[in-house]
Amino acid sequence: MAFNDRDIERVIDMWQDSLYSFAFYKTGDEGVAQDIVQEAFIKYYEHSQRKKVANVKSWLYRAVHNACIDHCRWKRSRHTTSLSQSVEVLSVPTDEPYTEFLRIETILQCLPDEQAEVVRMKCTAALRFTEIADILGISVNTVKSRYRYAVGKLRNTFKEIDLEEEDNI
Amino acid sequence: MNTLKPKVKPKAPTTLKTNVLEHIARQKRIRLRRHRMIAAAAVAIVVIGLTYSLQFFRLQHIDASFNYADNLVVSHRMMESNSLEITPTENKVQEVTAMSTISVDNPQKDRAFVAKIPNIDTDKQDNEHCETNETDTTKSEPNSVDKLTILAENLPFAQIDSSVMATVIQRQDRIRMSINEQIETTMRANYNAMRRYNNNTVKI
Repeated sequence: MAFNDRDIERVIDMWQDSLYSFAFYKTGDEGVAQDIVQEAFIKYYEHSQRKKVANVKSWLYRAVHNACIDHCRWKRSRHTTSLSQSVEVLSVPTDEPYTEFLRIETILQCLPDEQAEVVRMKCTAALRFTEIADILGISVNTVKSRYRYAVGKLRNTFKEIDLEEEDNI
Repeated sequence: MNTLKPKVKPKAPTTLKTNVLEHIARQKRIRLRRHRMIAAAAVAIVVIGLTYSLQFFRLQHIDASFNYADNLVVSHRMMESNSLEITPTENKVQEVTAMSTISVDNPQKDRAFVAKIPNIDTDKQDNEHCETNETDTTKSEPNSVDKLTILAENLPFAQIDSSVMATVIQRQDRIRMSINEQIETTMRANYNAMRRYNNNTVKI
């Protein structure tokens, strides 16, 4: 059966907020997050024309996750200090979501990238271990162990931090 | 208590959905236009191919018809030329005159034709010959026209007079008509023979 416009509208309505939030807490930029989510939906539509997607949520989160990684790599490779950039730094947004992003990123800085990724997905996007495993392409046990190591490390660093030990399935 | 759960979840802007749908609609339009162009090109290629192939087959057919007609005419002429007698001795002077006007492209062939021509009714015809063979000219007129046709076709084009050419064309038409008549007669004869044979077999 062909994937029509009504289907894509339904998918957008269902996942746009959570995907946008996920992309925002990974990139810290609202414009970039919007672009990434748009691209993910377009890719999903084009992919659905050719092949049926079994798990829409996992597919979309994986697309957004990969796009965020690409953006971070691109940003890191183009990281230079110039006058225009210093002006941009001065004009950093001070709204509440960005403050939250900075707070979470500060906490996750002490973790390795793999563990930080799992914690970010678990806490900011409220994904299950199975979904995280599906998105990252690793086993569920690996995801659980990474999360457990990350929680232990964060408890040692920040005594007051509150993390969920158990999976909320 | 500090927590990693974000206190605020940013909402997706309303333009996100619109942008996605617009982009999809645009892509659809582009794809549709591309498909139409491909389809139009395919149809054009098919039409051109068909036209050319039809033209080719038509030309082949026409060519085959012409070949058939030419073969008939040639065979008819050959039959006629073979039935001609060798020219009498009094026409030798005239033959030599005619030979001198023939092209040198294929002298052997031309000479062979001329050798069979008793009377040639061209501008270069000998007056003496006309006077001496006055009675024979009327008698052997069809044969002389045939020979004229053959001679004219073997002559270079520039040397053929317009009146000669007109006679040639007229004679060719007559030959064609006679061939058609012959074919018709033969077919009718065959048909009658077949009918007779069938009637006989039925009676038996």
